[in-house]
Amino acid sequence: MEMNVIERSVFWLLLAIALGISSHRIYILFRLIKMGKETERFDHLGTRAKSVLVYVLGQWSNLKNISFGDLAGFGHLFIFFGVIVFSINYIIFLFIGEGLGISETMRNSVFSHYFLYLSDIAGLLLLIAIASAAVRRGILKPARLGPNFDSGVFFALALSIFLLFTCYFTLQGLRINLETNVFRTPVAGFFADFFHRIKLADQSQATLFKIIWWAQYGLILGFLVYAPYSHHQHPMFSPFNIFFRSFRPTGSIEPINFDKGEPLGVSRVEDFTWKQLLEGFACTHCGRCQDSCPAYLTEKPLSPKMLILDINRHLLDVGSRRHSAEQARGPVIPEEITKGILSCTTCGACVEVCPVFNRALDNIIELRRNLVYEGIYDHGHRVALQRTFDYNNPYALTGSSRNTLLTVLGIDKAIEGERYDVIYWLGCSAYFDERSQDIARAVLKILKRADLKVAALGEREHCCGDFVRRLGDEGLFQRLVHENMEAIKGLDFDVVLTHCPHGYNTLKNEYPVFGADFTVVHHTEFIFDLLSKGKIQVDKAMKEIIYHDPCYLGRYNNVYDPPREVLNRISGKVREFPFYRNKSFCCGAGGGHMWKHEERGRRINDERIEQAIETGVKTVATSCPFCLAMLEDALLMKGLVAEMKIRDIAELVQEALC
Amino acid sequence: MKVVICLKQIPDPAITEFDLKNEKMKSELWILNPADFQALEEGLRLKNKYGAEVTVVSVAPERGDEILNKALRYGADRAIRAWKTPLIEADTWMISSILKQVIEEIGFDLVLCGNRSKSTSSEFMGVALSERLKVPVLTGVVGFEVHGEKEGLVHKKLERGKRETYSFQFPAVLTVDEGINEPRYVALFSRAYNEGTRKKVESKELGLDDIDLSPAIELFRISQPKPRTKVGTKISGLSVGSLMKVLRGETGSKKELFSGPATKGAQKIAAKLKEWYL
Repeated sequence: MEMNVIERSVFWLLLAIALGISSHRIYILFRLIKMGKETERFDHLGTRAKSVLVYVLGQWSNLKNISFGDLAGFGHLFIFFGVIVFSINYIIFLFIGEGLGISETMRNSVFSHYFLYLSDIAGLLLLIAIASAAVRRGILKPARLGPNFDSGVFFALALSIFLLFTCYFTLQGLRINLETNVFRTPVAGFFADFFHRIKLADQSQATLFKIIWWAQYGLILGFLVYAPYSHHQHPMFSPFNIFFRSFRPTGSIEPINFDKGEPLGVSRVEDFTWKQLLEGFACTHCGRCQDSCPAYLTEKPLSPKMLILDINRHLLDVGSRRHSAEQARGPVIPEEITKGILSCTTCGACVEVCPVFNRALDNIIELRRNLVYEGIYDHGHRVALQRTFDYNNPYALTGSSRNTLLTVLGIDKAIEGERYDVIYWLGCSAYFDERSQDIARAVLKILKRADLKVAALGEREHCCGDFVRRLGDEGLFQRLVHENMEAIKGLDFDVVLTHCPHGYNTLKNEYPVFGADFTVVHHTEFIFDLLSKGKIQVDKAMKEIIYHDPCYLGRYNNVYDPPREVLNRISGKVREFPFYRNKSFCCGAGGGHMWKHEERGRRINDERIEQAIETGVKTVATSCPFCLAMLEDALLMKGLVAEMKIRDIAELVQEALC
Repeated sequence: MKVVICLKQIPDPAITEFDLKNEKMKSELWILNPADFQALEEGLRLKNKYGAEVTVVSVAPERGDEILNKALRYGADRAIRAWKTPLIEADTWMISSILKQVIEEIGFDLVLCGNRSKSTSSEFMGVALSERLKVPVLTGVVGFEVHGEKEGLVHKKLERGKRETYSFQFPAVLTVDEGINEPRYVALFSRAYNEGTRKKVESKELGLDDIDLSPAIELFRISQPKPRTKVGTKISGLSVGSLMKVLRGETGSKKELFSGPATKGAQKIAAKLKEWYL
């Protein structure tokens, strides 16, 4: 059925209008994104192209998150391929074929035969996926889609997609009957037979064809115009977001150059980088971040998804106002958007699960930096920062008490000119907290067994600056970095060993930017190394152990296997939490939470210990003094201290030494 | 409203040692006296709330610039350091005469001091200042509120959480108790910090004639802290039996258990008491 000249002009005119409207909108969004600060995202082009292939075309961004409880990724896979196939279909057959009046030629080639067959399958799968999406949203109602889910919009959209495909298949059926399509495809054939059976006259079929054809065209144009105005802009922006993604490890932080002037951190949308502004448009509203956020799940006022989307909404507000009044600086991001940022434990779970590589965590750190700049603190945070400022550690320990502890533990104080195998970075918690000193004792025993010469820094060791930096106090952090590097500089040693993942992450990943060039190992890696080299031997006699992944060891540094390998050597049965490895659930101490004053909602450590209790294992192993403290605290609150034990891996290994 | 806050630089109590031979305190680290820090915080709150003009004053040699700069970075509008070399051994009474001159020159509605310093702890500065300035003084303030331009209420602590409330007229001297507030934290390179670093400490050289150079007290002696009397029992080396006794709290005076019905027990106790005390 070829169109006449008038029809064809209307066809192209309508398309031009629709494209005009949507490209105008996209241009506005592009201008909004360009408001952001510069950031270098055109490096590693090969790797970037590869991520788009793997994560977008290969749909790994969805498939990586599929579990038995959450099959939504498969649905997205079908929708994605359906949309791709039909985009090509419409371009070839609708715009080129019918638009240019060469429909017959286009449709009757061998390629079209296969392609129309493929379209049938893709269309069916897409319809099934849309139907299951409707069931999911209408009946199952998973929590992660809330609280911004608009059911009205969704069902209107689902209905129009359903209509579009009904139109498509009807048209294909009619084409068979009207003999403009030589090939018969299964679904189209079904519709063709249907019209045969009801004995519709050819003339009526031709009229019906015209009506449905224009309805289908209307729907397609409708989508073209609607998409950039809705959250269905994500198919346009997500591939770019994945292309321009950050390659820095989870939770790593860009240092501030104080010479560049004020203000510090982010208080307005234009203080974000353009990549961070792009994230708001790329967000798919899937809510996986929110679903894995320990703060959100324990009723804190933070949702990573809503943070990104609210900032995006604010950006659109600012953008629409900008046209009228040209101000030097836009309005401050309102407090109701940023109120939750102090509840973030910086665990990085949201970054890990995000299918489009959004980094809510980076936004949170930047927003926190501005709070510090303006002098707004949580009471507990302020006290900890003040103490760190005055005494170089959040516990207000004096230098002499640090030295005393070295004598108590029986460890030398490092002096220049002496050769050491290991410099043991004890960390503030071990200097202060007796429970953490148990870990240090165990580590020292293991080192002694391996016959290694070890020393610690004593009073010259200051807070590594982890929590300081994550609370946004970059100035104090950089001061601590330089003090600590000064303390380490003159010493002669192989490795810096630490039993605290926070110190490990900071020393290993954040100090090199400031010129540090020493090797840092975590004690789980170190013990694993000693075991595999045969320098220490252990009995494999322990009962069941369940391992809790500390966020800063696992997600931040990908150290998942060494602790498990070590545990496998001392116990025959190493169990896993329901959330483990990169899906591990935070203990609630990270990101300065150890010192946070008041919190609403349930406690994060209670949540985690309940997961452990459900597994029925009596020994929980971990490898972080803060996880240890938080989980023990939760046990104490539950009154289960006698039944369950939280142990550091070093303590377990030391017990198993033979 | 003009608020003047007197600051004192003290040797850090955490690391200070006494040089017993020369009867002096040795310290390399000098810090702002905590109570004065809290007085500063009160002044800064008045600034935030009523737009008060906050001036900090310290009588100190050049090292005193450190705490005055700190006060500027925390938000004080002006900082003045007054000094003359012979003042090194000056007592509170002498210092107060210098402070008087400086404060009168600036003009004031309120003078805030810390209640006491951690170094000399004389608790006298506020009182001496009120005498010199001829204005009323309220010491040990744990809370105060300002009503209008010229008056306010002051809360003082009594025992067991009771409070006294006084009303007062400007000008006045208030000495604030430690614990009146929790001072703010100003991060490096934050907005307040950067604004503070742009301000400069004004130093004031004084003519000797202006000063009342008669000390009212004289330092007699500095002595070592007395050793504490030991409490507790050493448990290492005890036999299991005696260790259990210690753990059950059965050390010290003798204990005896009486069993039987209440009346019988009471009779036994009475008999025992008679035996001990008669």
